[in-house]
Amino acid sequence: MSDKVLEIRNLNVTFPSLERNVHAIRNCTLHVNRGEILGLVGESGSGKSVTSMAALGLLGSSARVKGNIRVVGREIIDRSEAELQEIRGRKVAMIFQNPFTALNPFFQVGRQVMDALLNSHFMSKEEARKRVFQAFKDVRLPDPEIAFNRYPHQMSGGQLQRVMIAMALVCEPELLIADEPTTALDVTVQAQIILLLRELVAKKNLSILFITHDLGVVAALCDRVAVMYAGMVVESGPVVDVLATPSHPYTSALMKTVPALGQTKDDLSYIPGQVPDMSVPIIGCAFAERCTKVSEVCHKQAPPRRAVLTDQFSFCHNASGPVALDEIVAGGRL
Amino acid sequence: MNALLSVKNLQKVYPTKVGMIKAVDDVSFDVAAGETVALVGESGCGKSSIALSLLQLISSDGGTVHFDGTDFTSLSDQQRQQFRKKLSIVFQNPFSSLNPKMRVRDIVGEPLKTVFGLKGSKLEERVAQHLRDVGLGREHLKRYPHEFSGGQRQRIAIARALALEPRMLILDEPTAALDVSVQAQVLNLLKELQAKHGLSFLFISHNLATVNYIADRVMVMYLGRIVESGPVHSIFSSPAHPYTQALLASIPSLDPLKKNQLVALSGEVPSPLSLPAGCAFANRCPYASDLCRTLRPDLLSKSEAWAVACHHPIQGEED
Repeated sequence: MSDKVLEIRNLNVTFPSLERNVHAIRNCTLHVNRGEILGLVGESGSGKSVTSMAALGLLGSSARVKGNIRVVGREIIDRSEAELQEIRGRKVAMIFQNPFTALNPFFQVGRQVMDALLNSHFMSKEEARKRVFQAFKDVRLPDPEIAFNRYPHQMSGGQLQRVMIAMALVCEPELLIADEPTTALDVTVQAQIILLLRELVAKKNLSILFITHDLGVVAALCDRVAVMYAGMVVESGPVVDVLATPSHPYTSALMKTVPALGQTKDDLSYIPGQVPDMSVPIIGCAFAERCTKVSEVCHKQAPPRRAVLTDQFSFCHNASGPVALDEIVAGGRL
Repeated sequence: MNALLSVKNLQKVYPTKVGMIKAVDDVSFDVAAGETVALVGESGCGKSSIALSLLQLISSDGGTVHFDGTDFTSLSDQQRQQFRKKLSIVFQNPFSSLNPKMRVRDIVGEPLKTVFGLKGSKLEERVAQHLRDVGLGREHLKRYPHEFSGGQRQRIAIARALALEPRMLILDEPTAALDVSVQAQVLNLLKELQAKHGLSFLFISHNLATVNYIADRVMVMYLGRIVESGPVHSIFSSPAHPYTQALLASIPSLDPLKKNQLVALSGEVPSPLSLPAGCAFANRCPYASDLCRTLRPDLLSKSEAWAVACHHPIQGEED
């Protein structure tokens, strides 16, 4: 059996509309190994959330999805709603960005978590209630019995996000997809949630696809990172390697825009230009227009996937290292 | 030092069904001409209440706000209009602060029309000039907000705030809704505009790294009170208040090898409805003593420009 909990290969997602088709995901390839946290970073509109929704089969019927997505060995694309329902919750669960809107304000939080559990598992209400208390304890909610009967408005953002994590984990999924789960929270609460997730991964044989735009959070939490730009992963590898020696110009540019404490007050660098229009076909490298190391070939030919280190890959013509083996097997198809 | 903005003992209380919430409790500070002062703290600590009551967009419940020598709080609404052109504000979210049914020309032009009575080509000329200041071209005049990216919208909001040539800008989390790559552009733009027009900034943020980049002085708030204030480089290199220290320690570093240095504060912010008797931070503070739980510490000077409200301030290397 494969040790990959999530495997996405050559994913393409297009949203058709009357005037133009938006090609939101272009040949995106990534995977999450068992027991690891993969950080998926990129700016707004780079396709992070669409990728994660596709992994759960949550894109609406109007989206045209092509490629392969395997969650714990099971194919997601073109499955019926009933088949997907069996995978969701039990094999893979999701936490959303804003805990204030993800919960129903009319129901007690304990009941909402219990509903999620009873939806996918046969058990008595009494048993379910016990499991919810345990889940609340696991996410370090103080006084689980009191928390159970609280309504969302009676809790703080940090507490609500813990409830969301408890709801995702109560069905014991193998993969957790977390879409910017700390973005709406204060830094002190963010630090609490990061430490909690680290602990849960160590304890529960859990794997996480962690979507964020914050490279600091990636450094603090993730084992590997995949950087997205214009609908594709442009660089991926172990966090220690990618952040220390980024091989794609977009990754290095992104890192330089982050203001850091203790940095001198020279002008912050920024990435000039705009993200490409996703409704127009991209010829060559999508980052070429904004790249400082651009050469002629970048405008003409899509860059191949190169192995710059054992496990660090880069889609850049200027990156050193051999073209990745699977690329050659697939006939150089990007 | 001659203060452009001088706030003394500012109070803001929100009455609720279950009691009074002191959102701003006895806050005093000055901002000098050309200076950038940052106000940092977590959600609900009172940052935005201060911003809004400085402009009297919400009425304050005590204290004075002197701007350029005049007490802002004692003015009538009409007199206040005249003053508002000297003190302007940029809000957090450029997706909601710009009217979606107005063209950029009208968004930036409206204050020029109502205050300076400009019309026709003169008005258009001025609007184009303000847009150029923030790096937007003439071709944008006829467009609507939805045709712009987040960063461009925030530039439009800045152009609107600068249209009346104010002496000071209140920036309420101006980059919180933007991507980092765009955030850098907006921060650089603000610095450039400050140098060009000699503006003062009150920069409100929960992002300490951006504060480090843009501000001269910083004030750290916790539950409605300032707990530490002073020069950014001194406070960020050796914080005296345990809360400031905790805030700094909870920022993840870009260096993955330092990931074990991330420290999370335990516990939660106490409810503003039932504040503890002593120091509001005592229940989460690793250094708290019995004194802290009974007597609230005052904001006292530690050195000339540096003040801290703590019974057991951390002794830094600079002492």
